[in-house]
Amino acid sequence: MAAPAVVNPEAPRYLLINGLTGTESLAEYESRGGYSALGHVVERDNPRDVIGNLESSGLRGRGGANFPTHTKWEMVRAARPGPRYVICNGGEHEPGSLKDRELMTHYPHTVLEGLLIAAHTVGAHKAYVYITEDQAQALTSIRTAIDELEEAGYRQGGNKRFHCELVCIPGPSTYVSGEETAAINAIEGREAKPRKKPPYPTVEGLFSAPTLVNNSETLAHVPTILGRGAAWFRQIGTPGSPGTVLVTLTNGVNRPGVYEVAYGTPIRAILDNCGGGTLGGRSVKAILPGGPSLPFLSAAALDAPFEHESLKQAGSSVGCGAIRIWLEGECMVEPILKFAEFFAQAQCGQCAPCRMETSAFVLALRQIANGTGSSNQIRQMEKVAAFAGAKGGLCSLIPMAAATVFSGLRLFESDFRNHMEHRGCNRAGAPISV
Amino acid sequence: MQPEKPTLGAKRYVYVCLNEDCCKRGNERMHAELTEHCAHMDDIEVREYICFGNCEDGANTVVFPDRVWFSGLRIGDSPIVIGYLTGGACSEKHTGKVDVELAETIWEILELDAPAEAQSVG
Repeated sequence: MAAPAVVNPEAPRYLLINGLTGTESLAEYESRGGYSALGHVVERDNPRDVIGNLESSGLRGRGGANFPTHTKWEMVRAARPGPRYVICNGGEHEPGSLKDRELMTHYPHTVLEGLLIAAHTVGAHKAYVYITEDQAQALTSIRTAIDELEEAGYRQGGNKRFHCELVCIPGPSTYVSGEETAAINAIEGREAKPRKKPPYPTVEGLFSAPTLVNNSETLAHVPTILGRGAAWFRQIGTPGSPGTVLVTLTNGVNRPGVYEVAYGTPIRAILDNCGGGTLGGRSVKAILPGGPSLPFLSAAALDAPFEHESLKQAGSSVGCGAIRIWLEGECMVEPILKFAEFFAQAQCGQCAPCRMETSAFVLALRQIANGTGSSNQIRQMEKVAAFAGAKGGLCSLIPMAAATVFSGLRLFESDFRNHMEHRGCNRAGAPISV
Repeated sequence: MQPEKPTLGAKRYVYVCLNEDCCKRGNERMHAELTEHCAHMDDIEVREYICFGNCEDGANTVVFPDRVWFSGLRIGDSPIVIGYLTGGACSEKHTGKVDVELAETIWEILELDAPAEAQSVG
């Protein structure tokens, strides 16, 4: 497949305003054109037109699933008569991802405008913002923003001609509670665990009504797309992955943080230009481009454009843009064990194959890590993953937990062999960044 | 049908699941009682196991290389397992109830876990 179109390194950023460290107020947001897109949407009152614009823009979900946004909106808009709801899923649980809380903390009105546009388009009069309960700053910012709208006469969140009640709901900080049906369960006051699908939320979601669930970053792109036009949006990024994307750099770089980059920016450029290069200028050994629920990449992928098709070809995915790197000299066994332990703790217990797989990974990897394991433990993990993968579960945790294990075994075989041959890690002193 | 007992002298391993659901049904006590009872038996070793994937029908305890899977155990049921280990018959109520594919996967995994002296029953 041909490489995507040339990326504009000077692509405008429209989500994160440089230098903003506080929370953008309603007045500040309006002074730069905020809520004008909502105003136009309400005035024209043409949901099909809005959805058509989103389709032309090519906007896809930014929560990790990469689902076409316009398709979800149309499914809810065209659903059976009756109430429908919209949920902004700000439940950011993927380890290493900070972009949703960054958006909601500093730019709450960008998210709320997108949410209200979505509500108007699909015909919802109640919309929820779902945020993990330990994200205190994001919760405060969103609640304050909702109060600002109310005080400014936005009629419970909507504008003067569109009534939409906005509700902020804190959810548990467990990993699976960010899954969309788990979020719906949480809002309904049930345990925040995934539901059996189908039916999907677009058909039967919150309170059994058609429900649109979108990631907070996805919604944040909507006002700009409608305000500046789909063609403008398409100038940024690549044909298959238009627009900008928020990435989180945590470890291994000089300047960790959340950055807005054009889709298609090479991973190396993100690490250098955003992250200020690697610690000590050391070479990269391993890359997790989208969070620990996706496969590792080796340093060979450093020049891969950060966009969907290229990373899929490379063997991984954009995911939620939580880019983590490990440097030459670091052993990968312990980080992979830590991720396995994370998933074993994160599984919700509803699916026996998931519990079995995640537990088995921990058991086997601990044996390898402490030097008592052999290739038998690798074969054990292969067998249990094959069984659990065939059985499936209520969510995607089974393949997610397996992603780092088997990509790690394949790409960093020498680290595992080192542990088996030397009865442990003999790379003492090399810093471990997990 | 009763399973074929392993060759006299071959070591047998009793794996007791200590994950959440099985513990709620008494497997911590099962592990303790089996450990105490088998302490003087050189040919039986009681081990912990992390999860057999049969949570809904727990508590689970398996004997390998016998390939006997006890499920549906409850607190105070250690005599059922001990009875089998000391030459008695398998409890029909508590054995042979697990998904065949799951059981085969676990036997293959335990085959890779057991030391070389553990002989699979042919």
